[in-house]
Amino acid sequence: MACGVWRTREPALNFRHCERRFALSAEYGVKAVYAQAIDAATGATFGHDQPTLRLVAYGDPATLRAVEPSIRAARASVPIGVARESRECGEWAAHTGSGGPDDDERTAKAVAGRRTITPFGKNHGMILRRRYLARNAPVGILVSSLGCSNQMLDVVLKNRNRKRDESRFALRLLERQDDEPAAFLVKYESGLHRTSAAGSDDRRCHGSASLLVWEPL
Amino acid sequence: MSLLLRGAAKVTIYTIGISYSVERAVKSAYERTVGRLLEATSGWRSADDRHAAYVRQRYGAFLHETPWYRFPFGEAPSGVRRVADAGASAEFPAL
Repeated sequence: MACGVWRTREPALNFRHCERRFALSAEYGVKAVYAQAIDAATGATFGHDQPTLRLVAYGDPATLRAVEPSIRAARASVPIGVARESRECGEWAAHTGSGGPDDDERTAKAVAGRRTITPFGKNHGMILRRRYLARNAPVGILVSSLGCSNQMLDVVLKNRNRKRDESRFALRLLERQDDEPAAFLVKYESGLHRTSAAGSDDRRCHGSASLLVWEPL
Repeated sequence: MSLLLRGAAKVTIYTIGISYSVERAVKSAYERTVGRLLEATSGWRSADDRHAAYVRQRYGAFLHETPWYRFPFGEAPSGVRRVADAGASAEFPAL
């Protein structure tokens, strides 16, 4: 029997059954209305949540998808390099308002060198505020430091109000062999975090990138 | 943090704090009176209790990935879910 609380059958506990039915319905009803109001208010203030995360990863999209079926390639073979090494970061610059070599240098340092082992699981989904993402535009997440399996990235983006914020992303190496490009998955960890650039890593990645979309299950 | 963001953050915190407090107060008042009376007379293992526990379970898992206000509360009274008529089930053990 497919049922909600109004379709349950309770042959024995009639009083409790009726009381719970009305009490729970009242609770769910009030919460449904209130949630809609909060959703509208939050969307008007902060922007609606982006259910997907666009990211740049290295590797063949088919390979990545084999590793994680929920990954969908939005655009493949996008030439991109580490900002410090390459200036092919138009998408990135569009979001940061940067573009000059100094900004790229600072950003590259900010994203490099943080090596924190981060547990990865499907329960940790992606929640991105739309204010960080231009609609239908890829987010240039800089990927560097290929030498470790797990590391943290601090991705500096600018919101639509041109205020600089920092969000923390976890970067996990999905698959890497010595002679092949590495495949990465960038996992959004939490909301705004004030972090400081720590250290740097001179190892740089080369080759083409695949623009992927991580969709939480 | 800019003044605008700070103000929005404060509004968010106050809204959450007040609404959560009101919710707990109302539920506490109800469950300690009517709910307790019905529990004493009719028990607390009805199919609706199990359904409520299931919804809470789903809600807890839902919060890991999504803001609370996206939870389909409106579907809880009529949504699809198999609830045993009485007793425990594999999907939903006895309380």
